[in-house]
Amino acid sequence: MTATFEAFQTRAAAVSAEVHRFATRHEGLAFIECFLREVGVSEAPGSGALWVDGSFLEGIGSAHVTSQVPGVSFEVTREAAAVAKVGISQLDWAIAGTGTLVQDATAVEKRLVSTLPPIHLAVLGTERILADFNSVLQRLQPEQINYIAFITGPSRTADIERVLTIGVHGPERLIVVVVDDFEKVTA
Amino acid sequence: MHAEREILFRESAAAALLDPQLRANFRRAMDGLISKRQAQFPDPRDLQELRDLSTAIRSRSLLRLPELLEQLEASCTKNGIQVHWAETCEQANELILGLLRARGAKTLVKGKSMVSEEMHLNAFLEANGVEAIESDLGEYIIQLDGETPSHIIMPAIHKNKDQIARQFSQKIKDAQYTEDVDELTAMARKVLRQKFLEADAGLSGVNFAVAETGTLCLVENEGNGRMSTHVPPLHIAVMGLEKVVADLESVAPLYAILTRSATGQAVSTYFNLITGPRGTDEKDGPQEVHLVILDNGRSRIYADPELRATLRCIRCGACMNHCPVYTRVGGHAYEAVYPGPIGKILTPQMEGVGVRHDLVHGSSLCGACGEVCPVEIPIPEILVRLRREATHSDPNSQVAGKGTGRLASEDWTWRLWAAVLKRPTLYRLATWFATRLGGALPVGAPLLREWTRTRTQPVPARRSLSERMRAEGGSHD
Ligand code: SF4
Repeated sequence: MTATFEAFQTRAAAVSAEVHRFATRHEGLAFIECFLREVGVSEAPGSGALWVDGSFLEGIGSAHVTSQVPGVSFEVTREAAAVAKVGISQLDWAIAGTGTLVQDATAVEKRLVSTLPPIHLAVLGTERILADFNSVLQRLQPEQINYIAFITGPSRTADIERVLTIGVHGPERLIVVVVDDFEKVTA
Repeated sequence: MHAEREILFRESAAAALLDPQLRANFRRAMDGLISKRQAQFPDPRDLQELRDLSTAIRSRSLLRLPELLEQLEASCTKNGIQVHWAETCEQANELILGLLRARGAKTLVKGKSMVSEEMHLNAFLEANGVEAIESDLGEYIIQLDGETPSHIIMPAIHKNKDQIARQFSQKIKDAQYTEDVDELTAMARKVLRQKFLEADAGLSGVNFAVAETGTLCLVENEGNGRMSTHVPPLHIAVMGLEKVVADLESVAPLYAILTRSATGQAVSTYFNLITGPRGTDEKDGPQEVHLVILDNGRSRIYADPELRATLRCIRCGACMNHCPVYTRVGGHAYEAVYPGPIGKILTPQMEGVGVRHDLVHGSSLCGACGEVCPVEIPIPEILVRLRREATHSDPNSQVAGKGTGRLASEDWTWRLWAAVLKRPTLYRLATWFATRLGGALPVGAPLLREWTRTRTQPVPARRSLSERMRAEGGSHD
């Protein structure tokens, strides 16, 4: 598992994603809360964080987060996403070979928080990192999922003189929080 | 029947060659793209393997094209994506306008789509009161100046940052002059973000459409494609009918070779598989997804077993990046939606091989395009075939405008030539004159001028071979 994780981390870092690994969800959450405070998430307008709740907070509760970091909301709307500073969502799979995150993004809330805010924070179970594209395709049933998103690093363009620029439409930072004890919940 | 030869590539190419800024912009960009691609394929055997596989997938898909298209329609319909067919660009434009009007849409935000360029959709919508906004950064830059793309992957590559800086400071409200690429990008982001949030509809292209599952695959880096497909309430996707593949397994190799060949990336930032509109229990996201499938001459291309290879194209742009002609004259000289080698074979087949006769001749046939093409389209061979099609009307050929590239002067030159060769006295007389007066040929005369413009004037021998044979006592035995 560690080798797969390391491969993922290397590839993701190569496309400017920031990857952090934790043994437990509690540790992961502590990091996330600290990170949100650090980037200045607060209740002030334009400083909020939007979280599309998945199984990550099971047994912890969203109230815990909101009490720790005011400014985090679990009510995702297009309007809120347009002004939020950070979007947080749970990813379904990752591809070690290319540093790619994979998400069943049928729920548009997940797409909104991973597209509109300048920072996208993704949470993921370590076990969910697979070797390649095909292994992911085999586990997904694309015909039954309306929208599957493959995300590799933050949004980028090289349209001006081929100078690589990060964050043209989508987020300019992509933070990936990988947690080892996740499977116990998602299984 | 002679077609008008109005658009002369060699004239616009000659003009482009005189612009050192343009040449420098292209040279730099293309060199960068070439080396980035090369870095993705360190092992030539791996590359060849992937090319073989990709070529096979595209060829197989085309072999079953009619059947796959029917299957695609059925799968999409089942998923809730509404499918529309358009034989011509006019029909496709009308269709899209109809969809927008039905929902009272006044603004359309567009992800990058070459097919919509082919349809001249923006101008059509504009004329009908719908604002179409390009959201791909490159497309946005050229839209500000009312230009067309000069490259199929990097539409604004003909401009450098100083030119873009000037343009932004003049055309974007409250913009400060800056040559910083990050700041320029941020400026565009700000303008476009607002447009996304306000737009009534979004439009995207399609890189691959999967017949089995009814899935539309979208490859992009910026995130504007994602926004166009899920921020506005209506999503319209447009594709050329050749974009269909049988199943999802076919997509992985094509995607891998597309991004590597196009921008030298192992994967693009975003890859979206769209299989349907939002479910009934979801409160946001597009309520309607429409797929417009355009023919515009493709089924005619399809009908010819040799020319069909043109439709294998996955629009990676590698052929233009490696083309010695394209890198020197840039994309606009072609005066076609699709420039470069692929444009040289596609445009004449769409618009008529007579009117775009100059394009098929604007090549040294060096073969670089065919060599880098990820789906092994024999572009040079097709060019040669189209050169013949332009001047010959083979009854079995379906090529648009076949034979209409033949000039009256060419016709008559050959007729004269044949007449002379058939008559020995006339032939001797002609060679006598040619050898005696050849050096004094008026090279400035209209027809000869055409010949000698790019060639050294031939100097005939002082006497013809048959004269010498006779004089020196040679015999035919
Ligand atoms: S012809 Fe080949 S190289 Fe050119 S754009 Fe199409 S797929 Fe790419």
